[in-house]
Amino acid sequence: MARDMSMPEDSHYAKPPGPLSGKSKRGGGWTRYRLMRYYIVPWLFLIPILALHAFVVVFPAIQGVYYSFTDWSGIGEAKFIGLRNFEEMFFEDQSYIDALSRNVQWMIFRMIVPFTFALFGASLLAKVKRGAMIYRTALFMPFILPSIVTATIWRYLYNPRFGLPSLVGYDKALLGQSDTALWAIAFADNWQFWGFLMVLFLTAMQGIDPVLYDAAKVDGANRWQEFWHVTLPGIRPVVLFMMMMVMIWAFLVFDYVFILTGGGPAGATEVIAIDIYKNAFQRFEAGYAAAQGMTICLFASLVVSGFAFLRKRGWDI
Amino acid sequence: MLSKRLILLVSLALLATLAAGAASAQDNKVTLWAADSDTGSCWARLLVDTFPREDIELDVVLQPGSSLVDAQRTALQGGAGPDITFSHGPSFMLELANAGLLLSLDHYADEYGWGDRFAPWALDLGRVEGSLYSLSEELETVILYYNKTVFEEHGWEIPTTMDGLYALADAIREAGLVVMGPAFGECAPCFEWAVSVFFTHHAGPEKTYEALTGQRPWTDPAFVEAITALKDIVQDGWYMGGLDLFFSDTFQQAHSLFGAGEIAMSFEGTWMLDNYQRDYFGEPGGNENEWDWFAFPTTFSEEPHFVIGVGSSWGISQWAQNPDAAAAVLDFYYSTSYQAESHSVCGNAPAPLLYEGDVFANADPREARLYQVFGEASAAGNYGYTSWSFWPARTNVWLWEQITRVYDDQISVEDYLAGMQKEFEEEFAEGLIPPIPPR
Repeated sequence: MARDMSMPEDSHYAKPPGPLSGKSKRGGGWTRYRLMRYYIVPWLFLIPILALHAFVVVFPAIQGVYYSFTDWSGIGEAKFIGLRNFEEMFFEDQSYIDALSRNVQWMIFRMIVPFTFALFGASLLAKVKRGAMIYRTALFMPFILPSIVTATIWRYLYNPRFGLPSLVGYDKALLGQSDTALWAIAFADNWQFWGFLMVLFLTAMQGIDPVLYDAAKVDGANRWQEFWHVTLPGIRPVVLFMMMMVMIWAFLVFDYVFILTGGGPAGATEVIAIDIYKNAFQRFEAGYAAAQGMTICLFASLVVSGFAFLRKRGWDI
Repeated sequence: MLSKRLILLVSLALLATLAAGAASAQDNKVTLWAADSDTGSCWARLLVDTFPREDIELDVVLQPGSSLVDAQRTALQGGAGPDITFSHGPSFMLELANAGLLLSLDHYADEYGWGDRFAPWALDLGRVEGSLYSLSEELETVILYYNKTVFEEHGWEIPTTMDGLYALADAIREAGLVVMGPAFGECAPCFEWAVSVFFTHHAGPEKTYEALTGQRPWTDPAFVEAITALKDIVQDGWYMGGLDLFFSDTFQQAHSLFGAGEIAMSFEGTWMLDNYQRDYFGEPGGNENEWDWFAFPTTFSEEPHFVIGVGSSWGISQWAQNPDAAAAVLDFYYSTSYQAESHSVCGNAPAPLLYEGDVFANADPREARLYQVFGEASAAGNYGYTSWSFWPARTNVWLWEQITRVYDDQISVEDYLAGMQKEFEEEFAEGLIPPIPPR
């Protein structure tokens, strides 16, 4: 027999009867009371936060959508030009297409390198009993550093005169070459980010039933087989959720690139957010920048929709 | 009863007096924003302390963050911001004026006689369709600083021609030193400095003037030669010894190496005049070296030439409560005596005013010589144009952004200049070219 999970009728969590269903046996006054209690009062409590949300999120977002269809310098009057910005962006502006491709490269890097580091680190740390907190804190520490600090550290670490390259006899500046700069920035970003992922995975791993590991051992599984068949399935929802977030965040990357190269050298690290900044504040093309911003929303929506689709198909996300 | 009435009357009178006083202070309050940095703090303190009008309350608000101009622009668009507003230069102020966010300064210019006080080209920079909207600040040019001690050790002479500069560069490299800095790893727009100089010093100021006024295309062979020459010296490793270091090193790294004598010259702006002595040479720099400067040579004359520019421009916001008081502040700010004091105390570059007598008596002799030679060159017409003051915004972004692709061989010099011409034509048609003073 299935467990009855429904709440008792007199519970605060009880589903209210339909206010206009006419099934109340206590007359119109009772119906009005229920209408008030379950449908009006909650909304009255929500009004302040909804108003705030509308003021700081919804209205600016709607404005952003509107400006994406205009020729606007960022100040003064905006001139409505329909889909012209989007037409230019997708069919004429090679720098936007190049920037988009760099965001995709950034996303791929972030889905491979920090995830690998974090899964590996979490698997090792899960076995550590003594001094575990010290390791965890040390590895998590970069995540709480401001990006300007981390970026400045890495700028010096990458210096070919006295940084890491000089230790291996490499005399070129990784941030100064168009074929290495993006990856050098991505690695600096990874150094800050992977500790955060590791802590999440570690927490998820602690929720796995130890009996499963015992059973795997009895079946003769080695460490790799334990990880593949027990650990990974056990933390899959967390891993997939973070993958979704990382995919979305990949389109928002700005700070490390802005601090370390400003989009250079020779445009080699120019991602969409840098392009947007340049268009809005240096070229005075805020309408076009708004249209570019809309595409970031579009890509994020596609990612979320993709995961929602997989979930509907029965994936454990 | 009488005493109650008396108390009431006195109270009302006191209230009226207080209200009038408050209204008076409010009526004469003028706000400005300044960067919350050492220089910004010094500048703000000096201005507030020395401003002589007691009937005007001057409120300088120090704002954190590096994008003060962007923040101010956003505030202005929203109907707020300071009464006296500033931006990076004429092309930025042109945008604000076109959006109706600045007040015309014409009648204040007449009232205070600014026309006789500013260098004529400088006042013209602030005009939009004949009306004055902004005042130029921080006179700037780009020069070649050199490590004088290193030059004397090797017996190198100051070149007065481009050929002489090439020969000097060869000698510097033979001595195992880097020809020049700085590096632009933390300042993408700074790539515009050298482009500006090569347009004027290689192609010539007249041709550059013609291009800026739409009489000559940027694809002209003279400009192709100029940019090709620039590309060649960059790819040849003049800057920082290699393209990768030019693209990635910081200012501090480059200036330190210059002070230490590992880099022989620094192709920098006059905003570094104060900094080199203060931070990188002699005791502060941990060395016993000295620096000096010379004008970047030209291909066509042995006389010193300079690109001219301004670091920022000031105007009065459309939303200013007390525009007359704001104009009085500007009038004080743009006095030769205040500019000299600001330069002396805070190291700020002086505004492009007509200075007479020994106003900069306290200045370093190298600086004094610069302003003298610069003034003489300007008077003789030996001046060109900095891109940040005279180029329209979109064309200027193309200029500094795409030149790095030229250096990296991603696009040709011809394509670079064709792209610049395309952007320029569009902005020219839209009336977005900053005022170019007639030669």
